[in-house]
Amino acid sequence: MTVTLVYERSTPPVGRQAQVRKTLTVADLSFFTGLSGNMHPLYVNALHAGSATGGERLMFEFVLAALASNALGELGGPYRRIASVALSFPEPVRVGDTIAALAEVEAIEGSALRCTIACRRDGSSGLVAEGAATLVDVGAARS
Amino acid sequence: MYEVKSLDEIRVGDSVRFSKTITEADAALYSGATGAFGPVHLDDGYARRTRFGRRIASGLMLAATCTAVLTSHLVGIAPVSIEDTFRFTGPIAFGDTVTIEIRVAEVDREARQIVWEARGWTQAGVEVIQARATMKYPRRPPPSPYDLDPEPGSA
Repeated sequence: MTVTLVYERSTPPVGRQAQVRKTLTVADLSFFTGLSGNMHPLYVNALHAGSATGGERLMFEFVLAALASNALGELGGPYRRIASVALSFPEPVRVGDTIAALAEVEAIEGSALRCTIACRRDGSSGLVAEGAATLVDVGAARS
Repeated sequence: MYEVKSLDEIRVGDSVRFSKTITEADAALYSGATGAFGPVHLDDGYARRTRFGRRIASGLMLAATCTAVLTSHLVGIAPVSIEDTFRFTGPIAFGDTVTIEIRVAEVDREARQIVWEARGWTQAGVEVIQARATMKYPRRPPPSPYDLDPEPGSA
């Protein structure tokens, strides 16, 4: 089998899904802190997180958005970028949780895609993130 | 540390031993650099169902450490790699401290080539890697990184 990666414009059908799974580690937490400068104690102070929540440090919610961005990129293809995202985080996610981020094409609006996002944690049935995103074509290259 | 050594300085049996704890941060940087998102390295739920029973570190990451230590501590920066062969003989868990021993196995002064071999094992004594590779020394040594003149105009 030969797989050739070709950057072609195409539109996935409604219902197409893409999923990304990852265990969120303390390294991911630290890299996000390094990237964002976010030193909120629920995320970076294990003692505070333990006394405030009774568990491990929380994982930055936007890390779920980062996993979703990977799935969205797979759906949108090489010429669409994320134009909007709306996410809610019904439950906290903690260091050590394994997350499945699922994106699905809900509607096609011209060259744009409207997608749903659903993130689940292994071992629990509820959603830890849910929402929607719009992917738009970046347009023709400027000359 | 990153010295220019001539082939004349290299002897069969020259060796170095180096230990490093393999961290989650190493894995995160490795997947960022390479794009490798293989589930046995990144997905607890998946890795538990494999014969390893847990996530394991990428063997190639340790292979890269072998070549790094080889250059910095044993053969210098002059030779270039011709061929590398690695055998990944055991799984590496995050938190394992791996010791690698690298040894010059053959020197061919006429061809200006050396063969180095390495072996790595965890703190529990479980072997995780074997290596055998060939490098070639240039006819003329490259400059030392420590005695380069400053670039014109630099402070």
